[in-house]
This record gives sequence, C-alpha cells and structure tokens, in this order.
Amino acid sequence: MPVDAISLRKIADLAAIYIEEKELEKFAKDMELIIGYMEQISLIDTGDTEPMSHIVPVTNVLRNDEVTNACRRDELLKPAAVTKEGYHAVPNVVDLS
Amino acid sequence: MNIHAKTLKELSKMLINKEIGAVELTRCFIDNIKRQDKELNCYITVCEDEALEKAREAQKLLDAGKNISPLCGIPFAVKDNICTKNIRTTCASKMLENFVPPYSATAVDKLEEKGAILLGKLNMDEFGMGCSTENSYFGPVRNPWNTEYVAGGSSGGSAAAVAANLAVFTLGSDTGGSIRQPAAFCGVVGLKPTYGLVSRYGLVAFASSLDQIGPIARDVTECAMVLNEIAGYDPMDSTSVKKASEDYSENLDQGIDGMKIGMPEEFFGTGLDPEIREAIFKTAEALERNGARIEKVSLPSLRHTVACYYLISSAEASSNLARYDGIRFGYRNPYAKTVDELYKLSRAEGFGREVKKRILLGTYALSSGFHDKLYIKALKVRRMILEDFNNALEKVDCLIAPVYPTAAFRADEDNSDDPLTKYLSDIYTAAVNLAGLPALAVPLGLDKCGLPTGMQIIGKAFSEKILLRAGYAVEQITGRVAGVEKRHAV
Repeated sequence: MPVDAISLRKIADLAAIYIEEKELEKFAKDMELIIGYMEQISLIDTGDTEPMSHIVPVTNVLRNDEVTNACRRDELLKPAAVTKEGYHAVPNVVDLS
Repeated sequence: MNIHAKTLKELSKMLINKEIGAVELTRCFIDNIKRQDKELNCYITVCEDEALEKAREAQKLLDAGKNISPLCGIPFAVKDNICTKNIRTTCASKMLENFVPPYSATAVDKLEEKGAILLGKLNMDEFGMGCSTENSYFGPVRNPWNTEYVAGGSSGGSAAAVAANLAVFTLGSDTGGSIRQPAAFCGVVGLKPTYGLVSRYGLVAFASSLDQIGPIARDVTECAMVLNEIAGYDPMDSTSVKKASEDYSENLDQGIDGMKIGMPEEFFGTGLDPEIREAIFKTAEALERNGARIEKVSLPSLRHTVACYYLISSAEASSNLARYDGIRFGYRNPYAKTVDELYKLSRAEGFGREVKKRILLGTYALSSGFHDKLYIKALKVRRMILEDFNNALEKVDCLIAPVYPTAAFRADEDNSDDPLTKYLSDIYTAAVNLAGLPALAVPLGLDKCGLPTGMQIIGKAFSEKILLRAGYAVEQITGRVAGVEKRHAV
C-alpha cells in the first residue's frame, strides 16, 4: 500500500504522535520506502509454520499476594513532571461547562 | 605504571595484593574520562562522587579480605538504558533527560554487590535505535581509533569507553546487534548472551522478545568474568531462564581441537567488504591448523532477516514506548490543553526522528488490515530462521560469521534520502536475536585504514562456554587488538 500524507496522519494519530505538516511528507516518503521493502515478507511461502512471538516458552508468573515493599508513593511520583496532592495531574478530561 | 594496559585479572590481583587502592584506581579512570571524553562523548553522566564513595566501600571489602570477587574495586560503566537507582537514566532521549529511576537493574545490582564501581552512564542511539550512536540527544560518540569515524551502535558509548580505557568493562544491550557491532567497530570483545540468561529487569524495553544485556570488555577472559556475575535466574524478569549456574571463565584455554565450526555460505555473499571476508577466512584457516574442523553450512532463510527483524522490533517498540505519555515520567509539553494534546505533543517533542519512525512503522504493522499480512507473517518467518539455525547447529558446535558488512563508517554521513541501507546492514547480527541465540564478537585486527575488523561466533542456546573458548582461541591467533591502548595510555 502506498503511504501518503493522509494515511500517515492516521497512523500517527494511532501512535499518539503529533507530526507537523512540513515533516509529514518526508516521513511518508521514508515510510513508503521501508514498508515497500518489508512487504516482500508477505510473499514468502511459510507453509504451515506456526508464528513464534517468543523464543522462551513464557507462562504467567504468579506469586502470593504479599506486600513486598512499603508505601513508596512520593518516591514513585518524583519522576513525574506535574503532580498534585499525591497524584499525577493531567488536563481536565471532563468538560465542566 | 600504565594502569590502562592491565587486564581485569591483573587489576584484580593488584587490588587484592594492595599494590593499588580502589580509590586510586577509580580516580585514574575518572581522570582519563576528563581527559579523553570531550572528544569521544562516551559518557552522558559521570558519577564521580558516588564512584569514589563506592571505591572507599570496596576498599573496606578488600581490606577485610574474605570471599573477594575478582570484580571488587573494578571501575565499570553501563549503557544509559540500564536503570541505576538515584542516577539519571536517559536512553539518550530528550524524553528521559531528567528521569531518575527509583530502582537499579538486576545486572547493576549484582555487579555492585560484588564491589564493582559504577563510573557512570554511557551514550547510545536513542532507545537503542540506530547503528552509529549518532541518534543521541546528547551528541554523537566518536570512534577512539579515528574520531572521524563512528563508534557503531547502539551501544557505541559502551564499546568506545572500553577501547579508550574509560572503564575496565561495560554493559551494553543488544536487540539486533547493538553490542556486537560497536564492539567490532571499536576492536573490543562483546557478548550477546542467550535470551533469558541475563535478567532484563531494569533494562528500558525496546523490543522485549529480542533485548538482552551483555558485557563488553577488552578480551574474552574479561567478558567471561563479567558474565559470571551478571548471569542467572531473576524472579523479577518473567523471561529469565532457570538453569544451573556455570563458571564461564573455566577452561577458556582448553583449545579447539576437534571443535566443529560452521561457515554459513549466506553470510559471505555479495555486500560483504572483501577485507573483512579475507580476515575471517584467514582466521578460519588458522583455527583449522589448531585442530578445528571447518564445515560449510546453510541458512536459507537468512535473507528474510531484515524485513522480519524490523517488523517485529518496531511492532514491539510501538507498544513498549506507549508508556511515554508525558504524565508519569519523562518529558511533558507544558502548554497542552487536553489529555490527547498532552500525549501527542509530549511524544512529538520528546522523541527523536528515528524513534518516531520506528513507532510509526510498528503501529502500521500492527494496524487493522496489516497485522496478519505483516506482523504475523514476520513471526512465522522468525520460526523459519530459528529452524535454520537449529539445523545448522546440529551439525557443528558453533558458527563463524561477519558482524557487519564493513568496518566503521565515516561520521556525519548524510543518509537522509536512504533510510534503508543502514537497516539492511543489520542482516548478520539481527538474525541471532530473532533466534534468541548467543553470539560473541571478537576483533580480528586492523584493516588498511587502521580501523578494527571483527567476527562473530554464534552458538546453540546457552552454549556461551563454547563461544568463549572459541573466542579465546581466536584471540591467541590474532592477538589482543592493543594499539588504541598505546594511543590513550596515561
């Protein structure tokens, strides 16, 4: 599929990345080249080969629900740019008007 | 006394015999960083005060003299995508410029418990995405052999720091070749362990099913000594593998008499620099003279590696990097009016161009209509690549192959119109990650331009001991690539 500015805008929306108008074309050109190459994979005859997402057979690791550390709220909030009264702060999500 | 010419083993002996103190040794490396690193840019953060404090603690352990680890008092550094408690961990990204983790990676904890001294955090391609350490928010790393050339990537800081004696050893991470390629470019030894051998806890995720932490050092023995300390099951990493521990530095010098070594023909086709091909063939002949049996093997699916690798790694990256939302940690756009704007602007301004490109590529591969055609297909091809390796490794003990099609390339090359060529060059290394196998990059000497050339030795899962033994044999043939030590000697 050719990647044009419109389809790339949709992908960027899904990825939650704003791309400026002037960058959009260059990104679309790069992506078209790369995806054009990657698409060759769809032509490979994989027969009945099963997909392999992980090299090690992984299973859920469950542990007993024991408290392993003390309250670290302040320590864990420290890397956030904006906090308020012990919480992460975000712009309003409910329209108050 | 030239401290920087000493091996890890020699330094450890000197520390134990009190010929040098841990503080003095640490200061020696910090001084060297101050002298050399303006030009090379290996370090993003140098922890001078913390390192000297830890050196004083290590000296107490050395003075007490009981059960001393060979790494006690040894200065090391880690790639800046490996978390270090109370020391900022940036992934070379504006996104994490001020991120200070509240915990350390298991690999770092294990080394520090043994008394090794963390000097600082090393430069890299942003989030591990790149092959030259030029995609760094903190500026590019230069190759210590010739600063007009790149150090490789993405663990470019980790490899260059070892080559220039700015740390005794370092840790890097390898998703598609990021330990082995810079090690080859800088003339040092780098090991990508079997997936699951070293805990990934505290390694900032790029592509979780491919990422692995590993050591970079000046020789095979040092790599083995570091692996001894960092390998092992960790309940904090659900993909960590439970298995009996091994002594990787044991019997390194046992030789390779009777060892069967495969040369996959697909690794030596067009595109490979003739000088590198010749260096590997010459090494193979020398290994044969030392008792190894060289056999031709085939990996027919190897040619699908790059498409398969970039689809899977970008898909995983697009999911892993979704956590950078500007809210819980990392860069936050201060003007966003809505949550949606906050996500989109923070990510637009916090990530560099290459990272955005990979996220977009991964999002595309996972999006409705392409998921089966591209992503699931890539997962099937991944199994075919693994089966090829398994078939080849049934006949031989290990494989030898190039690491990269060329030696280090020039810095500041403008590839903006050609985003594919560099991706295609990952073919020799990325296949190994897709198959989860271990591989050791060893230097073979210098090419006509005076730049290091390298080779990788690939083995079955958990066959690190065989790789290290073979690597040790190569080292006896080619000699330690020691020229750069003279250049940077104190």
